[in-house]
Amino acid sequence: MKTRLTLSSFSSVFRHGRLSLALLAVLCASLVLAACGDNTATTAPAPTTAAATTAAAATTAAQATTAAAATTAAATTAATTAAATTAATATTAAAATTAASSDAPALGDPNLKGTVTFWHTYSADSKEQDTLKNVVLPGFAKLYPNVKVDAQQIPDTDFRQKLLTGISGDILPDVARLDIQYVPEFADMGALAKLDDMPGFAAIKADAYPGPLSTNFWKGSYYGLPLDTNTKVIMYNKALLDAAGLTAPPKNMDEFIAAAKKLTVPGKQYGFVPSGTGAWSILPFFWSLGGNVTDENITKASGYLNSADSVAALQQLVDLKKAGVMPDAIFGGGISTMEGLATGQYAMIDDGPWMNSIAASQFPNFTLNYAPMPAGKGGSIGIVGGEDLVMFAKSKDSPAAWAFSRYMLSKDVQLAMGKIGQLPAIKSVATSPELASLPYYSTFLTQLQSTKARLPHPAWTKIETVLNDTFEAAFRGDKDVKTLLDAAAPKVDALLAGTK
Amino acid sequence: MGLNTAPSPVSKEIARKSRPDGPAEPGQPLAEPAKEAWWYPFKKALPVYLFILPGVILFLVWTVYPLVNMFVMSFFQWNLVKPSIFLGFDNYARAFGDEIFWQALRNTIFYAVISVPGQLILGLAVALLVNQKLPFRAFFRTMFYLPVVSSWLVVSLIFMYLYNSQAGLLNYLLKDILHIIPSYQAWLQNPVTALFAICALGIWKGVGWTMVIFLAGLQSVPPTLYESAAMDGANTWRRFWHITLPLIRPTIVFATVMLSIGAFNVFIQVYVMTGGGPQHSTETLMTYMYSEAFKFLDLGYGAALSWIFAIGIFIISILEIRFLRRPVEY
Repeated sequence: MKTRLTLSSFSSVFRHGRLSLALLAVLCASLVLAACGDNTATTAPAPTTAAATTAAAATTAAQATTAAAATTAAATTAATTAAATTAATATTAAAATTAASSDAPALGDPNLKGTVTFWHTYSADSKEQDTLKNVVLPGFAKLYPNVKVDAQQIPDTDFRQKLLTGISGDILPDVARLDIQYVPEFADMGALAKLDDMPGFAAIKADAYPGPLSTNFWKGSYYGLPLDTNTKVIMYNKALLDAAGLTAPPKNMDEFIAAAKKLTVPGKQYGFVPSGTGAWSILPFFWSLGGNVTDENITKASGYLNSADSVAALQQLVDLKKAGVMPDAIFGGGISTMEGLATGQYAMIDDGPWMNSIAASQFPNFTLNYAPMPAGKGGSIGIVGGEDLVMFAKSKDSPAAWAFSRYMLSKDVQLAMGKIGQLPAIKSVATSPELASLPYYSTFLTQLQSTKARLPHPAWTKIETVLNDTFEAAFRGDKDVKTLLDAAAPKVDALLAGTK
Repeated sequence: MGLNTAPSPVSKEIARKSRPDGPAEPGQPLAEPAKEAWWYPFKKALPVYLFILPGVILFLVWTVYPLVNMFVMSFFQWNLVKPSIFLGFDNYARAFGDEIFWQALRNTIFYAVISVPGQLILGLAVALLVNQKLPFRAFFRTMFYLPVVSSWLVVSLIFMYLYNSQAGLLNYLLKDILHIIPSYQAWLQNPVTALFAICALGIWKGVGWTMVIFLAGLQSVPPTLYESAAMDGANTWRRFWHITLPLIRPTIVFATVMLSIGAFNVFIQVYVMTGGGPQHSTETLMTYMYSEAFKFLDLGYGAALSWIFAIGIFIISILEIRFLRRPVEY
C-alpha cells in the first residue's frame, strides 16, 4: 500500500506505523540543530538558526561565558610565535627576579578553611607514598588545621587520560602533580590557573632552577610550580667492567661506544641497553652525540631533525644495535634493564634517581654505580624529567589550593621528598648538605646542570609518537636513518605549526 | 510492526456493530464522524506509544544523541575548554591522506580476512562434532563456549602471558619442548608476528559463539532429507555438501555478517596487548580512532574517523547480505 506524504494523508501515515519514524526524524533534526547551535555560539556570535530552542540558546550562552572566562587567561597569540619565545623568556624572567620578594606571606594560617583535592602520581607502595602520608600531609595539617587535603593516588600511565576525562566531565582536582611534559598541553587547553600574580610566587620563581621552571611557562605566563626534577645517568655493573679491564666508566662518547662493544659477549652479555627505543630512552644519547629535534625556538624540525649531525648521531646508536650491543628486548618484552644489570646480563644502562630505592629493595646484594652521560659532539646532555604542581582554573577553593601548593614547595617538604629520590628543583634545597650526603645525589646534581627538556609544546604527545615510530624503525633497520629522519621532520613541522 | 499497527477504525466499527451488548446507546447514531480528525489514530494508539516511550527515550539519549553530536563534532577542531573551530570536511580529507589510517584499515581488513573464515570454519567443524550423539556432549559444548563468556580483558591478559617473550608458554613449547624455533620470540613486540598473535586470540575466543549459531542452524535441517539422501547412496561428504551447507546458508550469512562487524570493531585485545604497536603494525581502525580522540584529544578527527568506519561497516554488511543471501528450499 502506497501513501503519498501530504498533510491531508497524515492520518494514514500514522496508521501505517510510521509515526515512530517520523518522530525520530523530527527529534534527530532538532538534536542536530541544538548541537550545531552549541558550537556556532561558542565559535562566533553568529546567529543560530531560528529553530534553535530558547533552552538551547540559554545553555550555550552560559557555556560561552564560562569558556571565555577560562580562556581569557591564555592569550590567543599564534602558537608558533609563543613557542618561539618560551624557553628564552622563561630563563630571562627567572634571572630578572633574583631578589626574593618580601611580599611572600609566611606559611600557616589557622583561619583558612577549605578542602583541597590533590591528584598525584607518587608511586603506590613506595617510600614516596609513605612520606606523603606520614610526613607531608601531617605537616600541612599543623600549619593549616582547618584545611582538609584529599590526596588521591592515580597510576602514572592513566593520569593524563584521567585529567582529560576530568576536563570533559568537569570533575577536576584543585591541585595536581603533573608530569612536566604535559603542562603546556593543559595550559593551552585553558584548564590551568595562571600563577604569576599569586602571593609568594615570585619568591619560588627566584629560587627555582631555570630548566624545570621553564616547563611551566606557556604563552607568557606560568601555569605551575617546579615540584621535583630528575634526569637519567649511566648506571653500570662494576664487576663486569672490571672483568673487561675497564677501571673507570667511559667519560666521552668514543670511550662509551668502545666500552659498550668491549662489554658485549654475543648472545650472553650486552654492553649497553637503553630502556627502549622511544624518545625518553633515546633522546639523551641522540642529543649528546650532537643530534637535535628542532631549532632553539621550537618552531621547526626540518633542517634539524634530519641534519647531518642528527643523522650521524642516530646512526651511531643504530650501529650499536647492529653490532649486538643491545638485545631485541629494547623493542619491548624481556626483562627490565635493572634486572639485566643486576644479574650481570647487561653491563651499562641508563635510569633515574628513583632506581636507587627500587634496586635496593629488589636486588639488595647488588651495588649500583653511577656515571654522568658520556660527552659527545653535543656535550653531556641529560633529559629533564620531573613533575610540576599545577592548580586548576576551576578550583573552587583557590586560596586553600594555593596554600597547599606553596607548602609543597617549602623546604621541609622538598627535603623530605628529596631524600627518597624526588630531586628538588629549588636551588636553596638542592644544595643543602642533607641531600649532598646521599650516595647517588652528586652524579644527578651534576648532570642536572646540563640537560635538555622534551619540547615544551602542546603537541608534544603527538610529536613524541612520531619520534618513537622513527627511532624504532631505525633500530629495527627497516629503512636507513636518513630516509626515516627526512620523513619525520616535515611531520614534526606540521605538528609544531599546529596544522596537524 | 506488531504494536504499532493498531486495528483500523473501520474494522473496529464493524466489530462494534456486530456486538449486541456494545457500548452504543440505542437511538444514537452508530457511525463515527465521516471525516475523522487527523489525530484520531494517534489518540487511539496513545497507550502503545506510552509503553514504548521509555525505550525510545533511552535510545534517543544514549544512542541517537551521541551519534548526532559526534557527526557535528566531526566537522570541527573540537576543543574541550576553548571554543571549537569549524573545519568543514577537513577532518575527513585528512583521514584519506593519513598513512596510519590506511595502515589501520589494511590491518583491520587483514584481521577480518584471517579471523572471520577461521572462526567460521572452526566453528562449523566444532558444531558438526558436538552435534553428534557423543558421550559428554553437553560438557564439550560448554567447554567450547567458555571463552565466549569470559571477559576480553581477562583473556587478553592471559594471552599476553602465553606470548610472553621470556617465560611464555608458547616459547616454552616451541623452543624447549619441540625445538622448532632457535630462540625465544617476542611475539607481541615483533611487527611480523604481532597481528597473527592477535588473530589467534580472536579466533580462539570466537569459535564458541560460531559453534552455537551453527548448532542451531544444523538442528533446523530436517533429518528426513539425510535419510532419503542416504537411501539414494549419497556419502557423508555429499550429504554435507548438498544438504547441510545449502540449508544452513542463512546461518552462514548471519554468522559472516556478525563476525565481520565484530572483526571491524576489534579493539580491546589490541589495546591491551600491543596498544597498536609495534610501529602501528597492529593498529586497527578502532585503536587508531581511540588514540586520536582520547590520547591526543583530537576529538573532531576521532569523530570523523568513527563515521568513516561506521559507513564502511554498513556498506560491507549490505554487500555481504546481498551476495550471500540466496534462499534455498527443498
